[in-house]
Amino acid sequence: MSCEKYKKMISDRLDGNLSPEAEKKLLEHVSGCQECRNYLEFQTYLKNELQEMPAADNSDEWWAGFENRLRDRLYQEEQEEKSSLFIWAWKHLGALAGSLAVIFLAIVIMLRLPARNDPEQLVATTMSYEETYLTLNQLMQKDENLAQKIGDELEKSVMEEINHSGLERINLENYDYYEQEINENTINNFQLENISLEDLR
Amino acid sequence: MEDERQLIRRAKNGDREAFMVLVKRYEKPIYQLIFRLTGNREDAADLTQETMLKAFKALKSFQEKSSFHTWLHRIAVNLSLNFLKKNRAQKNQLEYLDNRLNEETEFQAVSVADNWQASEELREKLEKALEELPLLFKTTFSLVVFQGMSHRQAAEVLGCSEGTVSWRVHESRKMLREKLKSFINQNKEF
Amino acid sequence: MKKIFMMTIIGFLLLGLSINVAEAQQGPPQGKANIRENLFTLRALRMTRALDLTEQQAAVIFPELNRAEKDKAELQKELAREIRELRAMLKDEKTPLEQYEARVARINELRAKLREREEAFEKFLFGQLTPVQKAKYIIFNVDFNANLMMRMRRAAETGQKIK
Repeated sequence: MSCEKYKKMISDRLDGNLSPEAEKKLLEHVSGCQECRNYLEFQTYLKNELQEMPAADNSDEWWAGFENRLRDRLYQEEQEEKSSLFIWAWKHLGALAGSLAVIFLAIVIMLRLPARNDPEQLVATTMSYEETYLTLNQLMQKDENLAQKIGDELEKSVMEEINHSGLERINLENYDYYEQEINENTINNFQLENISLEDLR
Repeated sequence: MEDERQLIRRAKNGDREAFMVLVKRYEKPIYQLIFRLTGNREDAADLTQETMLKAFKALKSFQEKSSFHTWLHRIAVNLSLNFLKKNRAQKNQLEYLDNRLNEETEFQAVSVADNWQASEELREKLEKALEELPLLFKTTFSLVVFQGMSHRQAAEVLGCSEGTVSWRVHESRKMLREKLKSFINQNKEF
Repeated sequence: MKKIFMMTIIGFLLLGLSINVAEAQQGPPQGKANIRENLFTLRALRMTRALDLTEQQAAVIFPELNRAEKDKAELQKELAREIRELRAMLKDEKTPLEQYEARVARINELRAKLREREEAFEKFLFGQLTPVQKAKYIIFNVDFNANLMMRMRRAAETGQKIK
């Protein structure tokens, strides 16, 4: 194993992430390698220095002010959420009413249809697609513009559905910069760890 | 001290004061971490507030599969990295790796214990060297060395493997050594 | 694999539609025939996705789906014609009562046939589905019909777009 691999073991040892067997191997190597001994001493020293570095701290008054500002913001957010819920409900009242009307219509149709003894209770006797289409057709016969609009939208929806279902997409906007880095150093990691494991046997 | 799970449960039900108890427990280490990443007290204060706000809003969907500590740190790291991505140029990680392969590093055979004193100058150089670490390396290094997280905990926060954490910390240590090389060589007589 | 599956489905649907179009020479204007076809295609594609149909299931279900669509489209055309004539009759005060009776009976007969054809297809379909898929079909059906109604309502409001 090269010194580079032992230096990585030194780093892991400093983080408490080295197994006892690996540590034994490391210390055996260090006792005979000046370069690695110096590296171990330096990194141990550096770790102690870093941990003793003064933290960026603030006074108790500062923290009290921080907490008060946070409390205020939490309260504000809560109030904003309540009022936006109300606005959302108001805006969607139309859609909500429409959905309720559809459900009501479905119930009316269901009740008006002759009672069925079929134990399977097939869906066709309830929210009938064909009944819905019939209504749509009647509306479109009265209004050519409506027919055109619905026709255009249906074409778009069909194309969207085809695209959604069948095609792969590489979405560059979601490409994770950090995933790139992880993927690129995975080979490096693998080589380092693989060799370390072999040498530990 | 109230059990953390109870506090979380109360906070999930909208109890702001329960949440503030959690804030008091974590505000300082989170602030320290963010300060390490941003190098700026004002930004650290703002981002710490944002972290706590975001945590409060997202608490209902916190399933407690990881610890609150890990979860909160994850929010802090994500907010900080997003902030820094927008606000400053990133060093190209690949460029760094190419440079590493091409460099010949020479380390003077000098014993540490006798020759170095804790000095202001070293501390300043160390701060600068830390500041100059590529962002993701600095983040990983801060979580492990300054926040005292294990590789496993840091991996959970960062959403990467333990191996990646181990590698980044190792590389960070090598980078710090390189940046301090000239200072060390100058002081080898002492 | 998924691409081939989707292309097979689209192929099935287009084949079924070509039969429809050939027989709809005397039917409603081209625009409305397209709407019926597009609705059929959209419904079939969404149903495939909602029920997560396998290739084997699709291969069995789609020919029957096409046949059912062909029959139902004919019935809908005839029904639309009958309703048109019923409207005209109502405007004409001199229409004899027996004609109302006959037309209303005819319309009810067509509605019943439509219902029976839909049920027949669903009975066939349920024979091909797992219990979970049957449950998904019910939800899909309710949602699709609700979506259709919302689409109508919003298209009637200017400038609104429905997904």
